[in-house]
Amino acid sequence: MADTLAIIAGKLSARAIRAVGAGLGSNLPGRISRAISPRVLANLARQSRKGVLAVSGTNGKSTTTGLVSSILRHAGCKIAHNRQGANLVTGITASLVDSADWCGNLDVDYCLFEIDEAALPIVAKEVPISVVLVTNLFRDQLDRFGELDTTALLIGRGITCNKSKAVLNADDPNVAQLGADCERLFYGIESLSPDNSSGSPHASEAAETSSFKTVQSPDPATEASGTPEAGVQELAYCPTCSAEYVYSITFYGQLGHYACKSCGSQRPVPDISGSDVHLHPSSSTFALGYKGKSYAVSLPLPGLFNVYNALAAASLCFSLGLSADVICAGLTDYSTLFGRSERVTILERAVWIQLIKNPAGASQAVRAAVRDPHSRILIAINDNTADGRDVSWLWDAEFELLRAHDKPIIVTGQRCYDMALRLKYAAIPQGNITIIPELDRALQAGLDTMRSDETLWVLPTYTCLLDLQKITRSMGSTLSGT
Amino acid sequence: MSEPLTLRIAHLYAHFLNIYGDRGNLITLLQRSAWRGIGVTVDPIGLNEDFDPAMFDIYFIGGGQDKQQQIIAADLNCRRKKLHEAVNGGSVILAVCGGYQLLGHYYRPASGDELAGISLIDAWTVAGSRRMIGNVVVRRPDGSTLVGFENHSGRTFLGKDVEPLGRVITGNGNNGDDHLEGTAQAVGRGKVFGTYLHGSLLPKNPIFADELIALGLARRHNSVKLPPLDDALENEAHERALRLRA
Repeated sequence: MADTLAIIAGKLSARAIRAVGAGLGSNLPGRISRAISPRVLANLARQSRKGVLAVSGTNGKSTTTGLVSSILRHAGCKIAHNRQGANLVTGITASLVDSADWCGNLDVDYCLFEIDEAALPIVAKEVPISVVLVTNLFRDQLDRFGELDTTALLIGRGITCNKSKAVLNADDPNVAQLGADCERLFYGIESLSPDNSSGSPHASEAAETSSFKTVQSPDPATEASGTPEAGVQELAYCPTCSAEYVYSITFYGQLGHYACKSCGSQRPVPDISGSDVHLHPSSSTFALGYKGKSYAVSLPLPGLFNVYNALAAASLCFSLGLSADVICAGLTDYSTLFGRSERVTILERAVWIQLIKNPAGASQAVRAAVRDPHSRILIAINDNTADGRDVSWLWDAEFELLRAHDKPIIVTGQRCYDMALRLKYAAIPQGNITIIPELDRALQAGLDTMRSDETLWVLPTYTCLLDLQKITRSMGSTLSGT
Repeated sequence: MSEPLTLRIAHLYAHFLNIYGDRGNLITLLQRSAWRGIGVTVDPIGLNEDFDPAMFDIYFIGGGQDKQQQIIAADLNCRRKKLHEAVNGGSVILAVCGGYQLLGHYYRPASGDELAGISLIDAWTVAGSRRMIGNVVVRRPDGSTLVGFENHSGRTFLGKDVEPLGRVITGNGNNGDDHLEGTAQAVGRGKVFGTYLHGSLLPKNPIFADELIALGLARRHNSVKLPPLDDALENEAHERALRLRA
């Protein structure tokens, strides 16, 4: 009875919020429902016929969950999914209330949740999660969690709490060590194709040295092509003996093929592998390997980080027993989420929007933008709580890659001067740094100065993305999520 | 014609203590030297890696997470003698957050064993119950300001003869109680700077960055006067950071 009341109240408040046009990802309906019936989430989730799936980690949660959703739909499954990216316990509750009927019946095969790292153990306590997928653990919002080790602990607790099956990124030592007492499935990238510039297949050197190995002078000509990704090297040490991992291949951040020379522990052999990865300006292809067979995947998303997201989604779906055909079709037909590698048209101009929130993700986004020979770039940095109030991470991201860009770069947002300074110290000529604090004017300037055959790459932090959504709507563009 | 100026920087534990934009501090020292034609090098020094205390003009130690602090503390204590020798001989140390804490006598965690520091400065740190997170503005004794971001639960206290880096105007600083932040302590011929400020610290504080460069150069060169740079962008970012809420 309390549940029915909770669901009615939740649904009504969600409608009211929609009617007044508040932003996406509102947690209020979930909060109301939970206040009326604290067990509403558990009671709804329990009704899913085949189980509850969770996706957590620092980067790629939304895109990976979206890819899983696309595959499950191809498989003919009915799902409830917190699509709007509200990934705390209240937002997840709200998404289920929304999917249920007025009597509290939920007619779905799967519940699919993108879950915030800190919220995972909280949700896991209420809901028996069957599979937990962890994408990666980079530094992100340290001002919120304190430290990366804390985040790993939280996620680990979320996995072991229900003895969930764990789908884990073998290439990330922070992730591969999780859920040791649970059934685990690993995915990883075996090789990139030699013709693309991303990743550093022979960069064991880069992984072992620090951010600088005796840089004589920061001359763009000598440094730009050096080991640009080494600077985002994340904390990578063996959890058993604390020795530094040694890498034979580094892809980006701490992702790669690592081993501990002291105790012999090493990257697990992936059950699901990606190889022969080709990266293009707006798409990628790779060979998906599983149980001795290889399947060609064509992914409508650019950047190595999205290949990881696709591998993650495929692995989760293999663990559910879905066929390779369905998985490949679901990946190929994926349509993007707002602001996550989304391509939109604004005032007849092509615009890519890629959320950035931490060094690893930002470096990958910049790399993808620079790879596009017809790109223009706009970077939007806010420091609200949802963005992370500490902008130090800008200094750990590889904006040095933009030296190869050689066109004006627009910076905007509350911390646009910090961003401008970052570019100046990355040896971008000051004449190429355009500071326009107001996001709407910055976007307009970007659209005004680009040629019709160019694409404007917009790299916003989270609250800039929300603002951008409002602005583009007022410019008459139709975007997903609006 | 004077000899060409060179500056040698060591980045201690580059691999471990590499959070909170420590890289920004090194990039700043590197660029501001290079823009003036100073030949500058940054050498990473890892665990168990030997170094010559007479080699480097500036040592940089960044912040790390708790787990790494233990590893670093043990290693740092093996180099205690060399670091004392280096500073006494005129080198400059800049240590941020976790690195700063280890320059004192000890770090006492909430539970577990005390971590021994290297007692380069008369200071000590105890774990606090609340994490101090937010924007910080510091006024230095000469009236100039420093802006940055702090994120620490350790509370550091300075002995009575130790010079602080400055007084906190916004934020918590060393311990949230005595309004002091960091240290700027002469040791022998050298100088030790410790601070909780990242953000990164040096890009938006060009005066302080130049002070470090000048002190570093002074170890092996006669009196150096750094030619001014165009700091309009740095100053604008600094001014804006002065107005950020804690």
